[in-house]
Amino acid sequence: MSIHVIGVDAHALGWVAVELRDGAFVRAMISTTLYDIVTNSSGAAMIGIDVPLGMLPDHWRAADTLAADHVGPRRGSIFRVPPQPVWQETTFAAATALCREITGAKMHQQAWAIRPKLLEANAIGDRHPGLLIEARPELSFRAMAGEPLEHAKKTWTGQAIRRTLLAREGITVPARIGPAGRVPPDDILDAAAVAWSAHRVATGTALSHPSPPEEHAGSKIAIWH
Amino acid sequence: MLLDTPPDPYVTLGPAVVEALDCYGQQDLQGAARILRSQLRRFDPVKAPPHLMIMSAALLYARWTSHDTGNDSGLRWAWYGYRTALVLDGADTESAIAATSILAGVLTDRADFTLAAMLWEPVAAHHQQAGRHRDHVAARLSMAEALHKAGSCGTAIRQATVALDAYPAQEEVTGYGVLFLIRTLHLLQACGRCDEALALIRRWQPRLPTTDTGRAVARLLGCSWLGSADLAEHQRVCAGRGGHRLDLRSAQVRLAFLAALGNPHAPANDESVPGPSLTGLGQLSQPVVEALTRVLRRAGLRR
Repeated sequence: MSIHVIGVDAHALGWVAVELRDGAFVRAMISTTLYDIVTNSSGAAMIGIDVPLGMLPDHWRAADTLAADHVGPRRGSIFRVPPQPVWQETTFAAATALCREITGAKMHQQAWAIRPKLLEANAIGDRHPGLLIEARPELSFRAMAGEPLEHAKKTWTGQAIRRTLLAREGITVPARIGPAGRVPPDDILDAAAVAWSAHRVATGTALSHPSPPEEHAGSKIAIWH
Repeated sequence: MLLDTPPDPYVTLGPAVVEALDCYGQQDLQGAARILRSQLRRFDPVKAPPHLMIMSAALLYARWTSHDTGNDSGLRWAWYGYRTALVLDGADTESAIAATSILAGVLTDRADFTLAAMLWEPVAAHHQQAGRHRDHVAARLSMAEALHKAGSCGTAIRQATVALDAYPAQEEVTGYGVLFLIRTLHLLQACGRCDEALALIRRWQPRLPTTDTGRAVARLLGCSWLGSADLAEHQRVCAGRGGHRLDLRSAQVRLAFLAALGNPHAPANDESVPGPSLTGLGQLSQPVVEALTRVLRRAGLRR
């Protein structure tokens, strides 16, 4: 086997990516656009991304509810993704009003905050069908651990546990990772966890929420781990 | 539709692949793709585990539907085939290279030139290392064309030059060689680097085909590629040339190439051949059609 995959996480200034070859760390990259990461992916067979890919026309996605239930105490890291039309609004007030109109519930401010990255990722996903999958680090870590994680990712203990889980899976992120080293550690660990899930998808060992994925307009919507 | 219990790929896809190949043998490409599509629908290109039988069906399906750019399923299966070849056989193996070539071709057809160029590179390197000059040149030219369409014209032309230089020097350029030369000329022509194209023609003139059939094929390919409509389209992505003289200089390149073949004027019916799809072949003599078809099929430009 010789396969390389990439895991991508959004961070404050753009995107951070971790590349694995045969499941082991190769490099970390940062970029202001996801497009740059895709076009510099050097033949990566799969790119996992910690951003919702695919929305439904008139209801919440099953993926988010199932994944949130699965991560237990860390469920706050997975928010519900409103229907497609909500994302076309340009202000949070308009978006949440439309969300309430369509679904009967407001959208989360945290969801709105990632709107630019969500739109960017979905545009790239539409352009490259079959290359990108959605993964959530907390779900990946939970799968690695075999049980929900108690400690949050920004805590000392939380980070130590996540590093240990990755190392147990053969992913050791070195101390020096070039310019990507400027990114907060939890974002690097998240990207690595997403890459782990991408590797599992590529090698046919991943699971998804829901299973089978929801389908809309030819796209399959699921969170993989 | 997905089934709860995954079907056995050998049972479902094995007969389908055989039947599809029969269809393909009878030139029924659509029928062949339809057969595979009906069985592949039982699998999910993301969820399906790496499996040889699924990979075979996926890659054939992707190859045969590559032109259908409105349908994403071919590309999804091309990615599956690529991943599976890497997982089952490893990079730099024949199956991985075949899968990579198919994926790169599908991406090219979908105008995803940057990713396609990235994938052509290892294919070219693999063939080069294996000493397969023709395959190496073909893959490197495909990479050059993808880079060119992505707007990386300087790199594209350097790669095309490297590719042409790799063609065995002592050989008369019949068939593939002519096509490689013409594809390079086309890149130069589209970028307005017509003086370089004319110099290239002069350099290669002694090696151009001498038989009637060889020259007829070369003329047809020359008319087709060096007069194609995408020259103007390239202006949008290429900043390095004088647009207003493009038509005149382009015509010069085409005429110079035809003159180098010993006939400065293209046959009238050749003018109607629209680009590399080469419809209207019925107007040509059978040996020419066969030779041309072989060349294009081998070069992956015609099925």
